[in-house]
Amino acid sequence: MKHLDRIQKYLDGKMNESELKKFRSDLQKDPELVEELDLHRSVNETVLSTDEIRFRKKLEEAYKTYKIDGHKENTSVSGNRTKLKRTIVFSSALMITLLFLFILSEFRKQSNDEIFEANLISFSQDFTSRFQPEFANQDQDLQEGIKLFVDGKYSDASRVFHQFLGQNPDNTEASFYNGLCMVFLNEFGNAISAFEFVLAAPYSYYQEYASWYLALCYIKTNNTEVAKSLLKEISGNDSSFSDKARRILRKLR
Amino acid sequence: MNKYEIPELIDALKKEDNRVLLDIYRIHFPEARHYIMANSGNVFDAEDIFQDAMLLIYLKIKRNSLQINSGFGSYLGGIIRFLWLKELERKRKYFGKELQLEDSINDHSDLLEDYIRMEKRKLILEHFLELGSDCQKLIHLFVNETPVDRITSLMGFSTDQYTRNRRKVCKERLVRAIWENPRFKELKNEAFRQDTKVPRW
Repeated sequence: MKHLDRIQKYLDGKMNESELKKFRSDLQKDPELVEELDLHRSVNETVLSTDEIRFRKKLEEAYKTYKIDGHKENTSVSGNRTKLKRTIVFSSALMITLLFLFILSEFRKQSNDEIFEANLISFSQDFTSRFQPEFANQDQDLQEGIKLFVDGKYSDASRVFHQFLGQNPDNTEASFYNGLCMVFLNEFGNAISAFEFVLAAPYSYYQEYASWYLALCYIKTNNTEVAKSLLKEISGNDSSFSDKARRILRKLR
Repeated sequence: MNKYEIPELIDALKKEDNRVLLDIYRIHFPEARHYIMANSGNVFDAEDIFQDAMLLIYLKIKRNSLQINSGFGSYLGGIIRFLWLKELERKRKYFGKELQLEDSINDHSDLLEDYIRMEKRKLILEHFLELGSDCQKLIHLFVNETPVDRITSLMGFSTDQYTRNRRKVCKERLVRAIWENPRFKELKNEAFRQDTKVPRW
């Protein structure tokens, strides 16, 4: 690893004519330089390869659904023939009832408050499975704020995020979590500003989540038309919330 | 997978169709799990290997290099066996036994190349995610060719020179960690064994 500066200069296109000539000639005779350059290129490609990460996420979701389906199958088969028949009849009746209830719930229009509450519950699952592993990578203050948030101490967490944002005004991560605190403190105006700030940034890991919670805030504050247009956008994207967004669109009055 | 014609399946995978992904799991995962569990693996190995096999197929589709001459099931099964044998080989549980490839995989060298590429990307991503969130963002913004002054303001740094220095520190930390990882050396050697040319991945 002795060519780091030269390689970066080369990749940044900052070499002058003679440096470039020398670099190219060294590439012909120094296999280690070639390997290092390949590694730098691979790092750049990998960092940009969001489609791979997205595809893995989709596979994980498909596997989760598959596991849930498998569990249902396993629990519906047991015992001898009679028992099996009885189980089948019972299961069919149950399935029909569930199907009926499902159809009813799918197509029944719900109030904005009902939709908001129903969809907010899934947040805690999202949080524990998706965000928590990133703790190790965060600044200590931010980490402390998130821990307070996880413990349900939303006011304290929000104070920490505010303080952090005072020193790091462009930090979308803190702004996103602060938005979530505002949601749980029923301060939807502030939550909307926080999520909009995240979405206005040119890049943030949290944009997908911010647009989802922003839509929920618009639902809660009865800005139904704005929420609908945002949900349409989410449902048309490759977002992990697209199915949920489509479902809500069917239920909104 | 008789439910879909191969071109239809390729198209669906390209579009990352959730319904088709679920069908693939329903139809092919039980067999993969059975194979891996019968060969010194557990269900978690089966999950990982199945996901890697699907990713490998996806990457091949993206590069227009996928050629399936038999059914999708036997093609996927062949890749799963290949990946599992590589994993066993890696875990040193499989010393001395020749790697047997399925007949349905007609592009053996290409598959090994894809495997090496995928493993290296996994390794890079693993190290990238170990960096602090500021370093991750900084590298991402630079790779995305965001202007330095914009990065300085986005990250809340004081000067562009400081931003460049931070990028240098972050990138060096990342590249060095990968370079020194024994798995990276293993993969480099594997690529070298496969092709005496300098590896291009």
